[in-house]
Parts: sequence; structure tokens; C-alpha cells
Amino acid sequence: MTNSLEELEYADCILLTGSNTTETHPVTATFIKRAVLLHGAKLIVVDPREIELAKYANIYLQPRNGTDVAWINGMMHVILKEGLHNKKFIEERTEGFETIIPIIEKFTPEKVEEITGIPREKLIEAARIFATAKNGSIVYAMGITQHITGTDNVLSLANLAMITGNVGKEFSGVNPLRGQNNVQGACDMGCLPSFLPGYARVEDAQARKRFEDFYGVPLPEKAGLTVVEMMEAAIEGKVKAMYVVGENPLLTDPNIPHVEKALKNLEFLVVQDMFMTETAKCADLVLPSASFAEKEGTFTNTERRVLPVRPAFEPLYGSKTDLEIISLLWRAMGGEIRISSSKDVLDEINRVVPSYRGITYERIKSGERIQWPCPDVNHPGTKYLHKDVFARGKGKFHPVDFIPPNELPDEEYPFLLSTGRIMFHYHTGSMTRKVSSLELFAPEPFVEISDKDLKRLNVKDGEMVKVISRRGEITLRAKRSERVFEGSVFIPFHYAEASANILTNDALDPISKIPEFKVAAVRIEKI
Amino acid sequence: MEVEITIDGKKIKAQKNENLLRVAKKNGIYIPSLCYYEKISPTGVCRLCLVKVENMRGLVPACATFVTDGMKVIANDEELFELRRDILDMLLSEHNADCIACDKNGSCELQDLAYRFGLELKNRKFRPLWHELELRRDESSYVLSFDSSKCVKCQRCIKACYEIQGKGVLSFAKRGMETYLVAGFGTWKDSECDACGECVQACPVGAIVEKPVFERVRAIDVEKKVETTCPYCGVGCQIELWVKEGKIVKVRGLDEKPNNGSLCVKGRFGFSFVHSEERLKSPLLREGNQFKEIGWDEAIRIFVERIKEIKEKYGPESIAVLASAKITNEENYLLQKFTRVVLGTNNIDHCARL
Repeated sequence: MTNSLEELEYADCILLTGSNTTETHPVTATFIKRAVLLHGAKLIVVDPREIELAKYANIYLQPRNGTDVAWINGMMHVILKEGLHNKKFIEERTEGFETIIPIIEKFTPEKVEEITGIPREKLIEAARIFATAKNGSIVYAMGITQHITGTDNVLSLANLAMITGNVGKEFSGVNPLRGQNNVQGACDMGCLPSFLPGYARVEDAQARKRFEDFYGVPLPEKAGLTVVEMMEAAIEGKVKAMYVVGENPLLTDPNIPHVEKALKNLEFLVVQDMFMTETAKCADLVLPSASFAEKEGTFTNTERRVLPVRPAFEPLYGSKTDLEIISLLWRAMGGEIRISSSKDVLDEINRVVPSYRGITYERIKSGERIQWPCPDVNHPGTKYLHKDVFARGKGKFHPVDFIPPNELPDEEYPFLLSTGRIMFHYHTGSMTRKVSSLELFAPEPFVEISDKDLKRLNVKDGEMVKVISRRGEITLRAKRSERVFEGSVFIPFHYAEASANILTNDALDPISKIPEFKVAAVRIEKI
Repeated sequence: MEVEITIDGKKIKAQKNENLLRVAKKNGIYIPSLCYYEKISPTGVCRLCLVKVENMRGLVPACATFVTDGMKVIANDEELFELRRDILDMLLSEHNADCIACDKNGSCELQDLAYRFGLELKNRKFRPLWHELELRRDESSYVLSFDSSKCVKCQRCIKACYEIQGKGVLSFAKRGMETYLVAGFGTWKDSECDACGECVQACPVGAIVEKPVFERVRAIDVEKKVETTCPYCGVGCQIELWVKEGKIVKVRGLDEKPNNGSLCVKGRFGFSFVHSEERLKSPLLREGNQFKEIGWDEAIRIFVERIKEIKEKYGPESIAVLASAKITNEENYLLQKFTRVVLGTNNIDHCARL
């Protein structure tokens, strides 16, 4: 997030898209609800599903899945045509504005209506509301990024923020909501194939040298493989061994039959987890790790805030913390390692990651909860990013044209499928599905289908159906839903017994390599 | 703007329009209150914080009075003490004061007030009436219980649900002494309640309490409270784990950034997995279609042997590591360093995209 969560409450206008915030980030949703209910903010919700926050919205737009670039360009079309763009901001803070104009011109409200299904009047109204707000905040999540055009979608939102001058100030910015407790931290720490800690590019010799000098060894020069590419390489026989720490690709990755084939093709699979997950069941070696309540360290949340993790008790059931396991493996591999605690590691992070330099063990211990970048120990942390100047100097506009999703419904597979989370479960359910009260709230998988489609299929609410895609099929309960539009269905991906990712498409965004979880074509059969 | 006011003869500096009750509290002047809850708008219904303000008619609730320059306040005198005690006495007559087996025994705001005002049974003017009122219990939620006989009708839950959570699930039904709290149109289970538990945290008494995870636990039974970060989504809510006999028995939202005390159903009620019998209890080695329990030393040895063998045979690029969006920064940092320095590959990723 460029802003802080607390700033959402005081934005004048929030454009929320591709995020079912009340279910995926419930406490974030409270800031948005309070902005609307108590402080009179305008809320624009753009989402293929009529989510709970649509009820709080001043205006709700329902685009077809995977048509985001079209409606975002359309909003910019209206803003430019009506002269509502922020000329001063564009002039002073950005470059390349002229490059987007030819494309924007094509996206008339009529054309956008044709592509997205959003009525032209509604698009115009939403564009006016956003452009005339004093402080506009854009909030999005995986509904924007999990497309083959995920990068394009984000660039388009950045364009929209820049033409309205809604970035680099308090309450205004571009705010992706990160899904996992420490997905921000894992990225910051360099658990990415093309980045070293602090986003130093692996393939940048100078950046690499800094780490080589610090680590005292030469580092591999070529960028590594992303998750989905690793699976591909395993099938091709290029990757022979995998060490999986606290992840469950056999439920989270797209096209599960493909992932299963990949994991089975490995010579050696090690899984380190708290539970016998679907992935662990395929492993050659399983290492039991401790839960969050048994370890010390830090998590970095979606607003870049580094937060304390403190142990309530020692590791249970003979497990060890991941830190201890990795240290043991390191020593056994014959390496020299001078680390004995999370404090030692954080000290090193302070030295090699510039944005974490001032976020020390002592400050965290004393109760500070600091947002990076924090360049030194006296720095209070950074509430919002890009004040006065962007990281690269001027904000760059990128012209983005509309590309349809990789797989669209046809006669054989007539329904649009999207997947996501529900409030009562978390990711692959390896934790929440062991909590009896949460299981009572949401005990079994379901597919949300519109009333009209249920009637057409001659299926009753609650009846079991088969959902079939080109990758595979699952059987689960049909649930009548007012949230999905006719011709589209939604399945939560938490449930191993009917894994939504058996159906999803593993087509990737060419730059971010994110899979297109939010659009796939499926068929539904009555049993 | 800074102003000066006087409370009980003491000169106090405050900000203009600051809440009088809060100013008094900050300056060590005790004014009792029950319905006041810092995170919601003042309600002014319990009448316990009534004070005398010069040039204002009658008695005014401090929680709903905003300070102005030169304000002169009497917060404590004999008359106010008597009045407050009578109000409390009336509240107690409607209250099921069966403290002996109550979840909130020892951490109940009403119990604390009754103790402070010396309202043991023999000193009360008003006879207990609570058992003559219709008892409304709602056990339908999977995570919390409601008992109308303990409710003091302070509205903290109602306002917390609307003003903090933006939900507005709770409201009052009926009037007068018969007033009772209702979720949705009747029962908690059929309401739009998200089970965030904001009402549990806001309730000053034992009217809305968590259902037990393992066994009933009172705050006074808790051996240890540990401040940490919720392990579910990317919000990073600050939580306090209440630990008894080595188990997480309750969770409170901490009044810190980013969540300011709020939590969701998972962050408040979703931690029994930590103590699940399904936790892995020892390293496991595959033998055909079965797993065999092995010791840590053997597990580490096998890891090293196999990884070294594969690295030698196929090169470092034949090894891939999945780090985790769920483990700590320190663990992830160490894991990427291990992957690059020891294994010799950049094949490290995690589920940021999934």
C-alpha cells in the first residue's frame, strides 16, 4: 500500500476493485465502512461479484471478469473529455502522459459498455465522482492482479491515480491489499527468484556485488524460477528436488493435476509444515515446524508496518521453529553460520536492507510498530509513499490496451469461473479447517450460481453438481447467490475435497507470472 | 486550542471540546462510568458520570460534555456519590448478580463499581428484580453467547457493531425494564453477524461472552498474556493471546495500530489449530506409500545427503525452494540466504501470486 490502513477512513472517495474486503481483509473493511457511514466518503465498488461492500457503495459497477483495463481506460476517457484531470500534478510529477492519450481516446463509454457490460451512464458517473474527490484512494487485491493482464490492470490503476493526482499524499494512493500475514515481508526479504533482499535485482551485477561482498561468496547470476515455472521445470525433469516451507502448492496453484504430476516427478520433495497438508502427503521427507505462537520474529503487513511476533510457549509436539530448522540444515550442509536467534537475523537485515535499516530489534521490543522505509534508528517510519517525488523520479504513464482473458466461455464450457476466499477460512484451510467453530460456519465447499442459471440447469439450491473445466472436474454443492451475475460462478479455494484449482487455468501474466485464477471457462452438470 | 477548566477545585489544562470524562480521567480524577467506551460516540445512558457544571442546568453526563474555557465542574461530592450509588443499586436490581459462576467474575466493570460503592446485598435499597423479567438467552452463534439477565443496556455492543465494525447487526427490542438486546431480527445465527467479536470485547459485563474453546475460562484464570501479531491475513492485527496451562484460551484485540482493538472471526476465534492433535509430531520419511517417524538428526542427515547428491549430479539449478508468506521475516531472510549461498540457486519463490 502506498498509504496506511488508517488513512482509508479519511479518504473522500474510495475506488474499491477486485477485493472482497469484508471477507478477505475484514478489519480493513471496517476502515472503509466507517469512511462511508461516519465520515461521508464516497465509495465506488467495481467487481464482477456484488460483494457486501457494494451495499455500502454510492455506485456499484459490475464488469465481466477480466475486462478491467477497459473500464479503467473508460474512466480516464471520461475524465479527460470532461477536463477533470489534474493538470498540475501531471505536469509536475509525471512523464509520458501524451503516450496514453491515443489509447484512452478509443475507450468511449459506449465501447466500454460493449466490452465490460457496465452501463455507460454508470461509468461516467463513477469517473466524475472519483475525479472530483479531494482525496481519492484506489484499493485493490487479487481480483485485479490474478489475470494474464494483471500487470496491465495495475498499470492502468496507476495511470488513473496519476491523471487525477491521487497519489503521493495523505489519504490518496494506490493500495493493494496483500493477502497473507507476511507476504509483504517475504517479498521484502528477497524470497523471489529475481530479487535479493530489499528488491535488489539478481541480474544487476552491482546490486549483486553488494550482497556478494557481505555474504563473502559469489551468488548465482541468473534469475530463478517462479512457483508455476518450477512446476513446469519439474515436469520437464529440470528441477529434481524441492524444499517447500509452509506452503501448500497442491491446493493453491492453478491446474492442480499438472502440479501433482510435477511433484510426483521430483526425485526428492521435502515439506516443512505444521500439518500433513496435501503437499506434505506427496513428500519424501516431512519436517514438523512450529506455529506462530511458538516463535519470535516479525511480520510485515500490507501497509509496510513491521510487527512483533512473540512466543506464547515453546514449540509444541516436538516441532522446531523454521528458523531453527533452517539453521540446522545450514550447519549440516557444511556452512558456517553465526546466527542463533531471530535478533541476530534482524540485525543482519538492518545492515543489508536499506528500507529496514532503522527497524531494529530494540525498537520492536520497546513496542514500536514502524512502517518502512525507515532509513535510520531515529526515523519514525513512512506513513505514505511517493510524497513529493516517486521512487524513479517522475511517475511514468504506461499506455495499456485491452486484452481479453486467456480462456472465455464457449458452447462446451459456458460459465465464467472465478475463485477466491471466504471469511471463515484461510487460504488452503490447513489452519482454519482444524478450528471447529470456523468449520461450523463454513463446513463444506460450494459453488455460487445465480438463480436464473440454477433454474436453467434444473438444479435446486443445495443440490450437488459437477463443475468441469478443461483441466479437471470437482463435485460440490450448488448455492443460490445474488452476488454472481448470470453466466458466472464463484468457488472458494479452501477445500481440498473439491479443490477449485483443479479447474483453474494456469495461463500466466507474461511479466508478473501470476496465474489467471479469476477467469476460467467451466461447465456445470446436474448429478 | 488549549483551555483551562476546574474540576473539584483543581485547575486543569485541556483541549477545547475535549470530552470532560476523558479529561478528568487523564488528570487522575475519578468519575464512574459504564456506558462510556472510548472507541464509540458518547451515549450518556448509564448516568453514572453525572456531574455538576456551573451555569449548566441540572446534572450533566461528563461523557457527553465537551470542555470550554473556564468551565467549573464538581465531579465528586456527597450528593453525587449518593445519586451514583442509587443508580448502581437500580442497575443491580435488574442484574443477575450470580457472580460466583460468571465468566466475567474478576474482570466485570459492574462488579468493580458495586464493590467500590459498597453495594453488597445488605446495603441495597432495591430488591432484586431480574428474575422476574423474561430471560432471553441466545446461544445460536457458534462463537458467543448472550444472556439478557446480565445485560446493563449500556449500548456499547450496539454502537461497537455499527460505529467500529460498520455492521449494525445489534439493536434493542421492547421498552423500559423489558428492553433486551437482539441480533438481526431474532437470533444471532440468522443475523448478518460476521462473528468478529467486537461486541464481546466491548461488553463491560458478562452479557456477551465467548463460547469456550477448550473449557470455561475467566480472565482471572489466565496465567500469561502475550502480545503478538495475528497470523492470518495481511492486515497484521495486533492481538493478545491469553494462555492457560500452555494453551491459547482467549484472544483480545490490542488497542494498537493497525487494528485498534478490532479483529475478525478468525483472529478472535481461530487459534485452536495450534493445539490440534493433527499437528505433526516428528519428522517423517517416506517408505513406499507409508511414512515412518524418524528423529531430527536422521531427518537432517537425509536432507543433506539427498540434496548434495542431486546438486552434484544435476547442478544447483535442479533445486527449487518455496519460502512462505506465513513465516517470519527473519526466517524468510535466512531461507533465501541459505538457498542462494548454500544451495547456489535463485530458484526461490513463495505464494505472493497465489
